[in-house]
Amino acid sequence: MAKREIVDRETSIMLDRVLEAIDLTGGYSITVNDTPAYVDAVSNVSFYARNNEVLGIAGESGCGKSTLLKILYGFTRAPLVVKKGKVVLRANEQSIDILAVKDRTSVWWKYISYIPQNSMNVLNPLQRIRDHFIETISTHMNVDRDEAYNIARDYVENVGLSKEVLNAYPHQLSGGMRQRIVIALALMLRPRVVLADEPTTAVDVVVQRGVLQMLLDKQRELKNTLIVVTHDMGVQAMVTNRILIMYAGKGVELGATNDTFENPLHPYTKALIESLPRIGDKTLRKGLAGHPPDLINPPPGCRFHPRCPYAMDVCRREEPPIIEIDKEKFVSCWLYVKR
Amino acid sequence: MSNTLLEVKNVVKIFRYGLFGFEFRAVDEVSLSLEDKPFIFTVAGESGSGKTTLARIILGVHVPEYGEVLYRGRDIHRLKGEDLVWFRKEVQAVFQDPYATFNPLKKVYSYLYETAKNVARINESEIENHIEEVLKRVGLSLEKVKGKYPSEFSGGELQRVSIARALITKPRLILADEPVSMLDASLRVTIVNLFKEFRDDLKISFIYITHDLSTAYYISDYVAIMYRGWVVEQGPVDKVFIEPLHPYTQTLLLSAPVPDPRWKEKWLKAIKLTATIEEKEFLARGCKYVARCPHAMKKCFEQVPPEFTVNGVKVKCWLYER
Repeated sequence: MAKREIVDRETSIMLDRVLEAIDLTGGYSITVNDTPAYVDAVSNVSFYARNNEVLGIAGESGCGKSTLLKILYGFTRAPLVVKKGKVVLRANEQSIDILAVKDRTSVWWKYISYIPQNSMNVLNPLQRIRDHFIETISTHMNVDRDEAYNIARDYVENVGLSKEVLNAYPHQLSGGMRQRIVIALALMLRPRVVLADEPTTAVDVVVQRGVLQMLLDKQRELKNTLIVVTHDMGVQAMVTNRILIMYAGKGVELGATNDTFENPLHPYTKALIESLPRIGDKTLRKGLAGHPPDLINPPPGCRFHPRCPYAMDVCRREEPPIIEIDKEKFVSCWLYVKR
Repeated sequence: MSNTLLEVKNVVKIFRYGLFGFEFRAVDEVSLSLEDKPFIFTVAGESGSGKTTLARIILGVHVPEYGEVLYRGRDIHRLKGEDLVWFRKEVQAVFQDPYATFNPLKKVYSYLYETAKNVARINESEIENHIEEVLKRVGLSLEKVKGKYPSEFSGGELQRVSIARALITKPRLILADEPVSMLDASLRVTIVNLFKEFRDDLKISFIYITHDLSTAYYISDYVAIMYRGWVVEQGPVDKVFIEPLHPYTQTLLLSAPVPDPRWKEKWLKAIKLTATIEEKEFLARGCKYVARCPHAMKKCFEQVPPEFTVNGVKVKCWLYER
């Protein structure tokens, strides 16, 4: 009996992990000066996203966060290659490896959807907004055009947009409005997991506020999982429940957002958070010296060691393991290895 | 006149577009007055608010339709010959994208050399020493820079070279247009810290143009908030950012995400926003913010508000009429 309960609890924990990345490794096969090279953009990244949470993926440009998101979605077209790893999606009491599915369109939009970077520019300039909606609806639901239009109209009003936008062409709308349309499209089929890549980078603060509000409202309504990639630590702090910090293709720290900001463990996270100025606080901030490594030739050992103030011998030789410091708190750094 | 460094007087810049010459005022009746002592003055605003146009007017790139810009009492748009070289020496610029600042096919050093020779007019024999000195100031060295092309630098390094180039002429004023918006967060403070250092050590004043409110607060002494071509509020940064007066400034500051999860609840509660058509705002008869303003009165629809001074802060809003 007791054993049965343990098994049940374990299954429920597993089912709660709606999306799990296991040992993901992928990057870009390119040619530099006629010699083939490989950009090691995502290297052995493992983490999971739980049901009904907002998970942030943070890091600076070139850290592999957008590549990670593409792999999670299974959007792997050359030059992007996945070397190993699994992306397990658990929905409807089934679990599948997205990377092993041949026809990914069977999971895309319905179970997992993706809002790409600069997505305000993905709308077809020759199509009215309503045709974008009708196309999506009639592809995935078995309805005719008129009914699809009715569904679109009700849905658009439900997400707080005026139904007049349906008759507009993309160029007639502002950037923030187009961004909201793309988000509305991505959420229409009530996917369990939504991946958003820099959803507000190209818009102004006031508009950004509105777009983020819409994403959060929809997440609360659908009780699904929202994974937001952004380099903006302000957005991370305001929106996410948990946060994965990436550096040079590695996941270096994962934990609750509050905890990560108040008590960062990895030296990179520490430096990043200490570098952020806040309104109302003029105390001197220090930046991080140096620059991220070239991912064609990443440094041996820990990839952060050339910039790390605490670097030890072992950091230059060996890659640090991922250590569970506390419940749901992970860090990949030799400083926390007890020996 | 001696105690003002730069005076912008009722400047208007009109852009025309379309078949019928549709006009709109990118910068509309802007006045600023900057004292002659080292300062960092931030011009903050969203895209399309006219902040870059204002910067270009101050640099003499755009000639305003109305109004004038006086640098130490002289109208900069009327300078010619030697006087123009003097102005170029006194006022330098740093731009947003360092990779666009430098020609990718030219070595970076040639920019430093040419500025030293043609603008600063330094003797041939002293040029290299002088360049070495300015590079040290920004944390680089001659050997790191000489013989290299822009693509061989990281964004942060190249922006430092760009700042070093501006320092060559020993300017009194540097105008920095979004100098950190292309850079990663952990690098931003290293650049803006340089501005603070140069203000204090080299007595250089800065006009810092940005949409990033947190670095704006962090480094500046004064701030002007722009909205649709207007300066809606200006004053000491501690007053404007801590107790904003104009309804737009209030919304802007409430909307800005704070890199501190303890603010999350407060931020989430902030007001809901309405979307309006931008073109209409540029053409509005009264206040340009009226369509979004929660305090809009009848007067706001009809008359352009003048600048009222409240406790050392100038605010362009009818709420503060006495």
